[in-house]
Amino acid sequence: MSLTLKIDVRPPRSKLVIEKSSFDDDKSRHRKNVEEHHFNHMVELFIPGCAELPPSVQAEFDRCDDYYLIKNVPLTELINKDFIENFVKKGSLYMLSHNTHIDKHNAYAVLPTGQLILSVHKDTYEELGLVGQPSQFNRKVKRKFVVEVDLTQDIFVPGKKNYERVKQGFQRTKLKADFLLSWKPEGTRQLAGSILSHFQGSYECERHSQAQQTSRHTDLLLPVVHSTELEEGEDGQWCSAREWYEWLGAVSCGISCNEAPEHYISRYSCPDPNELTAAAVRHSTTGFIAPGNVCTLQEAVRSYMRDNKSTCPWAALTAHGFVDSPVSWARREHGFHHGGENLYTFLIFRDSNYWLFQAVGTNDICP
Amino acid sequence: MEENQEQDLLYQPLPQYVSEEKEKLGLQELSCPKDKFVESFLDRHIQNFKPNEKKELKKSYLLLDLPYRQKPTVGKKKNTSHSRKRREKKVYDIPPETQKSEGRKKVYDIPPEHQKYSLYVPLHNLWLQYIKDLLQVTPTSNLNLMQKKMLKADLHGALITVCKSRCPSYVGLTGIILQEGQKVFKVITKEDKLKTVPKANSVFSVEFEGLRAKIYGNHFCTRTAQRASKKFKLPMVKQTIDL
Repeated sequence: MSLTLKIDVRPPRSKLVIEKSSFDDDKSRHRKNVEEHHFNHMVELFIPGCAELPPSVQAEFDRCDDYYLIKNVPLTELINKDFIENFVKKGSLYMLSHNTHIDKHNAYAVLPTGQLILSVHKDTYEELGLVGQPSQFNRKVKRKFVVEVDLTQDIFVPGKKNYERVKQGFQRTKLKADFLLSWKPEGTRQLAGSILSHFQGSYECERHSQAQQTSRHTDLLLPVVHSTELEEGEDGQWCSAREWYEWLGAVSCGISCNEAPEHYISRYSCPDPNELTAAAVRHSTTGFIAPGNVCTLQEAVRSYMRDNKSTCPWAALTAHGFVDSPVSWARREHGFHHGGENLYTFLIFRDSNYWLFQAVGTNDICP
Repeated sequence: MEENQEQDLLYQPLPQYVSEEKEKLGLQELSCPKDKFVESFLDRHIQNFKPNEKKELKKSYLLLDLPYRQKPTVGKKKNTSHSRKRREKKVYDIPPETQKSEGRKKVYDIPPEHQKYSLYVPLHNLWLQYIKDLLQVTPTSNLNLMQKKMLKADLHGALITVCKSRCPSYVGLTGIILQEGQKVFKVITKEDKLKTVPKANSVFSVEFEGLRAKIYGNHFCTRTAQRASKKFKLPMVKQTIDL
């Protein structure tokens, strides 16, 4: 058991950004938002009003790429010339250090844009010899530093000064970590598995597939929302977006919404106004999911919503980021603090409108 | 005080016993101006006295021994222009050695044509010999004793590497120490570049005789000469090796 001796009494400064737009809008940011959230741990789909997951969506879930876990990779391997030429530059590579806690250990990530991001401790930083920035979240006591190395630069080749310096730094500090890896080649010529053969010779590799889970609800109370109004209706015709989001969180955590008012554990009840639905399905997949998969999944849900003549008023697609990832969206720094949450939810309506909820914890830059 | 008394004695009126016997001694008041009397007095007593020599006699001083040479006027001017600067420096309480050395500063500068790594390899070899003689490392030698000796050793000529620093751009720098100041090492690297590395907030490592010594720069901020006599408190209490 570990106990924190000094308790921070300030309330956590979690942030929730809600925006309303349409998929048909040219300026809509939905695609950018998905693509910039590089590391997804869990994707969850909630569809009320249908007892089974539609087959077209289920097929998309099944089609999610496998990911690899490679153990004890020294960082010098990541700046290997062959590796950069064959994989980093020819496709989108997602790598994230595994079992490294961002507030305790050094954490590393390779973004598909070709950046290697190191979030290192003060002691490591002093020995590494690469210039970085102190972490945004503890400015007073500089405990963590963020170093960025651009792997795709033309001048980042053996023999050049910068390359040799980075290499020497990695060799001096002997940094190594387990990495989660997923790679999507640019063309169709190469197979995604070829990256495995690159590592297989010298490191222990494991292939994992995403774990899927389905749960069904019956007789669930749904809050009523209006696709064009984020705020609560004047005469109580619909709920506000925040109330709805709270309710979704309660449902996905499995909290019952119709307990007695004096119930010991939870007195949460579904916000008014609400309506009863006979069935609802919640499907989640857990692992290391590339944003590309989330994109196709989103498209599948949209086409289902367009075609389907069933009763479902909306569908909610949520993607949770890794709590220990050094970045949340794009290159924005991420920290753990109390929960390390960074997630987004698309509430997709039938009329191609959507609401986007982006939620981050205290140690995070507002998306 | 004594002088004063003497003066007083000199200008006092004559003592009473003398003034009483004035007439017996043949003393009388001057009847002419004083300088006229002096002139005639000198005339009477000095042979070949010329009146124009009188002017020279009036000069109140005569330099008998050789006076120290006067500074040239240019130097004087320089002094006056720098006097303000010096006064300012005194406020900051810089030790007099530094002030003095300001004039000869350029003596210690290494000209660019001498900044060659190969020129200093013999110096490094010499240092290796010196450290060998000093420490006399044997497999059984006492490490504690060796540490104390190493603290007082001269480091000019040692091959040094910065292995940790608060400023990342110093990390990994390797070279031979040419000069050691109070707060900096001047190091020549293999690329023939003279670099100045501050001692504070860095950890250095020196290799010799198959051993590696780590120097925590924060506790090493003394001049070479003073280091020899400085007491390093071991074990270090209240002192941190954190940068």
